[in-house]
Parts: sequence; structure tokens; C-alpha cells
Amino acid sequence: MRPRWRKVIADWRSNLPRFILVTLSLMGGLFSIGIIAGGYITTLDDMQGGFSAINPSDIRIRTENFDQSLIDQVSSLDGVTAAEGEKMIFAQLLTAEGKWQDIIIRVLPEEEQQINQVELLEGRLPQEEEIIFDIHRAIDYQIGEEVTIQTAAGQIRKMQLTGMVRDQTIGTLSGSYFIAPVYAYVTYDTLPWLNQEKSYDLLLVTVEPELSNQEYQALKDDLTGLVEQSGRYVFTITDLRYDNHPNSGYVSAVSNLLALLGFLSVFLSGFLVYNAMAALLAQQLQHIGILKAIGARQNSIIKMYMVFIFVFGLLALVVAVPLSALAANSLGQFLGLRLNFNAGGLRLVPLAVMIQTVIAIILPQAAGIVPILKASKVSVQEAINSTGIQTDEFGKSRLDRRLERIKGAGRPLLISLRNTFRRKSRLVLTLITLSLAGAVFIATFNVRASVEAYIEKVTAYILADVNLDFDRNYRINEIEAIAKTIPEVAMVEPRSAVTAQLLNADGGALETVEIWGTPPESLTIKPILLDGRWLVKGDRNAIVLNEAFASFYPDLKVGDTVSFTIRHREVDFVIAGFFQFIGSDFFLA
Amino acid sequence: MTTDFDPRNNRSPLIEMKALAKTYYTISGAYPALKDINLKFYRGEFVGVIGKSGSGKSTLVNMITGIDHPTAGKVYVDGLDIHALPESRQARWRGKNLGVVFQFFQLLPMLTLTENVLLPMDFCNMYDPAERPARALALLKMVGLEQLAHKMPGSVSVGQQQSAAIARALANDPPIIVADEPTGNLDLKTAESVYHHFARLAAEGRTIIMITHDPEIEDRLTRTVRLKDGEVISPVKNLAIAASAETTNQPGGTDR
Repeated sequence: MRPRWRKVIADWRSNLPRFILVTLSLMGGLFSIGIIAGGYITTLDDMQGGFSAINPSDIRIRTENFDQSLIDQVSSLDGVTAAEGEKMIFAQLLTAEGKWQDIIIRVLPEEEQQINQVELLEGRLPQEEEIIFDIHRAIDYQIGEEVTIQTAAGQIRKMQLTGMVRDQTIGTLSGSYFIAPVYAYVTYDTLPWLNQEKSYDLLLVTVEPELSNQEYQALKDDLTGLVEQSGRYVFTITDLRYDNHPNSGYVSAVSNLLALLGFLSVFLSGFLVYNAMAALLAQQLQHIGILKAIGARQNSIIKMYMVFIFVFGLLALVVAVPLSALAANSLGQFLGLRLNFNAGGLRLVPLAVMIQTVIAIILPQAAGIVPILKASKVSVQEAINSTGIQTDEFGKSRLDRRLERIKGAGRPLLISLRNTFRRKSRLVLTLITLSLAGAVFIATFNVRASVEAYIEKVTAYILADVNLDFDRNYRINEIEAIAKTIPEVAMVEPRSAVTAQLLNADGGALETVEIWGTPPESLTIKPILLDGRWLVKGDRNAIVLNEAFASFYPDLKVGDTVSFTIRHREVDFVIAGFFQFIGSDFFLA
Repeated sequence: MTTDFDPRNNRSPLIEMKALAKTYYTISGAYPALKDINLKFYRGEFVGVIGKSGSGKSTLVNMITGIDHPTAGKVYVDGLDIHALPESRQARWRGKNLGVVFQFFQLLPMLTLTENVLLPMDFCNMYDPAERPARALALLKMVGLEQLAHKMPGSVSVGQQQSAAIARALANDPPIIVADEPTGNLDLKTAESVYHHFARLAAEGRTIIMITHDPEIEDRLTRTVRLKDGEVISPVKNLAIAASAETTNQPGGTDR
């Protein structure tokens, strides 16, 4: 080995603790970038791949009960690749503690499931009077055990649990995956046993991917027409054509945030490299002088120290790449279970490795080049006579002169103060490093504060301590009277919800909207108003809309009239105001 | 003041300083370290540069090595204006043509004596890489350090370190050796050994320019250059040694 490289190795060895720290810091930065980029890409890939594999519906039409004949008619339309019926039943499940827990029972189609397929993970698919569950919520039953169900009409049914599945469509419609109840699945033939008519009320359709937007809209109109011609009313038609996995938004949001923190940590590593190199080169100025005196050119010296720094990056990269791939895989498995997707196996993500490699090569070099260039330019004479302390820097600036004029301070304090300001570039760098570290710390707390603020925003519209949902409408007075028989109940407030369809000027369907009916003097809502006002006593056909309307239809203003179809009727409302909900594209009024 | 000593009269100088001046500018004003120096050094000379502290000895030597730059005047080494060279070419030129020996040896403490000697060959890409270790060992043997070749500088005596520094200065077989008080930190016996090496090198045809405070050495020098307040005050000839230099084989010319 050439002696110059022996010197580089020896320099490494003699400053081992410092350089291990620098390498670990770089490694930490590369690891964070690797796990974030790799985890983000693999998670989204797995989510998208898995979601596409279940053949998700492009169009979802809620209508009145129908059977296979309507499905056959829809299937025969040009542009439709598959059509299927679905039904969802609301029921309750008896837990091990003897409590009733809400469940949604999805009815599997008679034929083999084509759209919104569930993936069997364990056991087998159900037969008549049997049931299976989705894994995303913990239940107290094992496969083979008998499950007790109470239907909406109050009948108790015992059904054998035959398997566990993953249903990736949970949360597709209202982003409610995290608050969704337990999902269960039964066969079409089980419906009568659950006191349900053998029919579907949801029509799921997939379309040819090559359809243009115009063709797609025309097909939607044809579908609506076909359903209406069959004598059924179309309650809602939901466009899901370009929808991703329902939980992919969470991954993007969290990844963006983590990416920011990752890049901040990489920057911090860069500063550490700069500081380490500046300190090393201050120590090695004499060596540089000797090397120049015996024939080393500036380029040779720059190359030596750049290689020196390259070793940091290389070591950090070699360790960070496999570690971050392993961690990204673990993260994928963890998220797969919690965000309802099938995580793929361990793999290296080329883009993530490329980003890590580029950072590992460029960042340390960029951070170290300034002190290296500065040191390599020093004259032989200056370098050989150097003590490693720059003596000529302090005393030139106005600040230095002011520090020199401080009176009454003890000598040790003055030395400390002057030392602080002796090397101003180093001071600035230290301050930047501390500020960045502080920023990371504060950012972490900000994230927590944001999440809390988000929760607060949501709860501002649901301030009741207990919410009771009913499967049909009841008279308010009747429920209020019953509730108030419980001594601890302080106040009862009714609320109703209905799904409506926002209409355009020509009466065409635009968005599916959830409309809540609430008393104007509601004590369970503290609205955050963006424009206009909240509902007041005496309002007739007044409506307040959430921010999704304002962002998707910016022309809408307070005082405008908007039209909806609600249960077969077209209803006009005057906009009283706009309120902020949770910042999503979920339409609420 | 000019000094001009040519042992063979019709021979061209290896090093020539023409109207050389150096002024340092400090907060307290301009400080002339060298004033109108005109000197010539010839092959095979062993020249001592003598003077009190602050007389300009180191500045003069630094002008030859290119470590410092003149305010006025020129330094020619084998006809080459060395201060006209760009920094990088000057470093390479210095590595090939000059061996520099410092007062404090300036060996790299993290490398063995052999590796220290190998460094100039490495940086100047002299000799075949496979030949370099053997050459380094031969040079260390020449200064009596063959048994300590693989020792670190910190584990040998100061005299041995200075001998290793001389071996390093000879690594690229330079025609000129410049030494800045090489015996300043050595005991008499070790200093004697260093002088012996230099005298032998001069006898082989190399030009040795050495800053010294040691009056005992003058007998072994071809001549001395005495400096006072940046001026040459009395060139002293030692004709006996100069005569012996005349009969010595000359090493190769300098590399431009």
C-alpha cells in the first residue's frame, strides 16, 4: 500500500472515537432516509399491488334491492368488465365479556367473488349459516368456535367461525378505516337465516381501464339509466375509478413528515463531518506542510482527505443499506397489519439505495470540502509553523473590539467570551447545528400537537359523551324521554344523518354528501367557521358546508343555492356558511 | 551586497539569487527580511548560512525551496525561475530537486521510518513502485538506521529521527539539500554524525545549504554566507574543501 494511504488509515485510527461518532451519525441519517424512502416505496407498492389484485370496484351504486338479473344486464354493457351485487347488514357481536359490539356483515356473492375480493388468510370460506371475520379488528373467537350474532331485528343467531380474511376495501368510502367496526362475511344463502331478503342493494362495477373520461362518464350515465329503468331508485353513485388503497393517504402523510426529519438528520450529519474535518485539519496542518515540502501537490492532499471522508460515507452506506432494508421490511409488516394491506417480503428498493448512495457520496464530501480546500491552500511555511490554533482571527471585527472593551468581567469570563467569538464561522456552524437539532425536537412535538389539534377538530362536532346509533328513525321525544330516565344523563340531543347527492345545474349527480341534521342551538357541536355563519333558530332550508365544498367548488359562496337529491327528492338549500372539519375531501353538510 | 564564489570560474551556478528582497508587512509596519541579495551556489558546495536570530537566514533558505516568495528579485535553480512556477508544479519540482531537512525533523509520526522515506517517491512518482521499498531501506542503511526501519519516529532517538529525515530528503536523489538548523536539537555526537552525512553528500556532488549556529562546523564547509539584518556581510571561502569539490563527480542536472 502506498504510504499516503497508510497515513490516511493511521489518521483514521488515531481519531477513532470521533470518526466512529461521525460515521454513526451519517449512518443514522442514511438509515432514516433508507427506511423512509424504502418503507414508503415498498409500502405504497404493496398497498397498490395488493389493492389492484382484489379488483376494486370503479363504480359503486347504492340502490333498492335487486338480484342477479340486474347484475347480468349491467355486465352486458359495453365498457363494463365485471359487475357484482353486495349487501351490508348491521348487526351486533357478543364479546367474551358478554357485551354487544357493532359489526358489519358483508354478503359474499353467489358466484365466485370477482370485485372487492377478500383474501382468505386462515381457515376456509363460509358455507350457509357460517361466518368469517376480517383480521383488522381483534375478536374473542377462534376458528371453529361458535359466534353469537344479534340481528338488527333482535334475533340471536349462533354461527360457526370458519376462517379469517383480509378485506382491503374497508374504509374506501369515508376514510373511516380506523373507526370501522368488525367486518364479517356470510354467503348469499345465509341471508334468510338472518331475517334478510335474498337480494343485494349495492352494485359494484369495474370498467375497462382504457376508457376515456368522457366514455367513463357516459357509462356511468348508462348504468344509472339502466338501474332506474329497472324501476329502482339510485340513492348514490360513487366514483372510485382512480382510488388508491383507502389507507395510502396515511402512509404518504406520515412518510412526508418522516422524510423531513430524515433529511434534517442527514444535514446534522453533514455538519458533524464538517466539524470533525475542520478539527482534524487544524491538528494536521503541520503534516500538510511537510507533505507539500516533500513534493505533495495541493490536488494530492485534497484527494487524500477526500478519500478519508469517502471512507465515512462508504462505511455508513455499507451498514445503513441492509439495515434500512431490514427495518423498512419490518415497518412494512407492522404497517401491513395496521393499515390493512399485504406486505411483501424483504427487498432492496433501487431508488432508496440510489438516494442513500448519492447522499453517502455527496454529503460528506460537500461538508468536508471547505475545510479541506482551506487547509490544502496553506503555504508550507505557515503550515509547518502552525500550532493548530489560529491566532490572527480575533480582534479584527467590531464585535471583537467591543468584547475587548468589556470592563468589570473576570479574566476567565473574558477568555471564555473571546474564545466563543474567536472563530466565527465555527460559531455560526455550531449555532446552525444546535438550531437544526432543536428544530427536529420541536418538529416532533409539533406533529404531536397537530395530531391532537386534528382530533380536537373532529371532536368539536361530536361533543357528546355517549353516541347511540339506531337502525331506523324514532321520534325524538320518545328517545329523549327514555334516555332521561337514566339519572346520570344530563342532556339528550338528537341528530340524524342521511346520504345525499350533490347536483349540478343540469340535475346531474356530482358528489356523494353526508348531511347531518342537528338542532341549531346544538350543544354537541362547536363549529370552526371559515365563512358565513352557523345555523340559527328560524333557518329554513339553510345549510352549512365543510371545506371540501370550498376547495372543490371555489365558486360556491354564502347565499348561493345548492341542490341535492335526498331519498328520491330534489331539495334546494341556501348556503349559510362554511365550516372547517378535518381538512379531507369528505363532503359533509 | 553581492557575493560571487566560483571554484571553477568558468562553471555556471546551480542556484542563483538576483537582487533578491523580501519584506514582511505586519501591524507594526514593513519589515525587510532580505535586502538585495545576489548569491550563487555551485554543485558540490557545502554552504553554511550563518547569522543571528532575525538576520534572514530562514527567509533566504525558504527562497531557495520556494516555501516563501520574494518581494523582489529572482531565484534561478539550474536556470529555472522557481517562483514563476505555479504552486502545484513548484511542489512537484521541489519534491524532485530539493531535499529539505528541518530543525524539528518533521517526520510523520503515524508512519514508520521506511514509510516516511517512501513518501517523497510516492508523491513525485519517482522510481518503480516495486523498487521504492528497497531504495528506502538502502537510504536508511546509509544513515545507519537499517535495524530501525520499521520503527515509528516516536520510538527512536532524536538523532535517529534526524538521520531518517536526511534519508527522506535523499529519497528522490535531489541535487540540492537544504537544511534549516538540522543539529539545533541534537547533542554534539549526533550533530557530528549529521555533519558527516552532509559532508559525504557534498563530496558526492550534491549542493548542501545549511543554516547553522555552530562555529565548529565552519572548517567542514566549502564556504559560509553570513547574514546581518537581511544583508550578506562576509562571504567566507574555504578553499581546501572547495578544491576537493572540484574533483568530485557531479550528480545529474535539475528537473524542470
